[in-house]
Amino acid sequence: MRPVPMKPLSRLLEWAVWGILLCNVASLILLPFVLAWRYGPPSFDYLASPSAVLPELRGDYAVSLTVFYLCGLCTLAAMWQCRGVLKNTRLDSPFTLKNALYMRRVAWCCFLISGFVLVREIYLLTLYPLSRIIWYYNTLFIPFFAVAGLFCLLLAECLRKAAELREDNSLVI
Amino acid sequence: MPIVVNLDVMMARRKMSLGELADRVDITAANLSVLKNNHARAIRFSTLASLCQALRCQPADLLEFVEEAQTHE
Repeated sequence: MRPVPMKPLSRLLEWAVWGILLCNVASLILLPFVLAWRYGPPSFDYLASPSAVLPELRGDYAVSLTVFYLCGLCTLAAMWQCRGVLKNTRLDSPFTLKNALYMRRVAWCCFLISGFVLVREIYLLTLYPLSRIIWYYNTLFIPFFAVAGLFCLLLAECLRKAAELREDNSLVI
Repeated sequence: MPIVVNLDVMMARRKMSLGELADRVDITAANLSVLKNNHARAIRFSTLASLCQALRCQPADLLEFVEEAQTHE
């Protein structure tokens, strides 16, 4: 198997992570307005005010806003940890306990996102029929982030083992 | 670690400095220091052979088994 150039790849990914981070911050700022647009009558006049939400959808709006904010903050935290991993990889030290810790934090962020979306879906079940919820694309986030979390947890454990092996190897004279 | 490396004792007996020994066995002084201060996890046979040759001694002169309780004293 041919080795992949790690430094340019991690640099490219670091830029991508920074891009996602900035988009995430912008999304968090615009979230109340975008949701108001989604839950209010389709008019640009309502875009400026979150209070434009239709009265019958205000409960859904409040829960969705809270869950999306929590998910957004978790994504922000996960991306910040990923940035740390990529930075260490770029600096030629991917197998460190620090990176393992970062990956473990990413895993927990993924689990939290999955949990928050699950809570929202359960709440939505009290408002809408199951047939509508099940086809909603947000439902896919639950298994996707749960599996991503497990994968990150496994990767964190691999990194921890690799860091230990590396330390062992450096202490063999 | 119950295995104690008596490298410093042998070096003193042969009146050899760390740098000189490092040059003779062709390993870095930093690695030799790790070995001397008992921080090494393992030692290669090739390194042990080189050390024995340079210090004109047997592996048993360099390595010693000490009970865990004694090492903490």
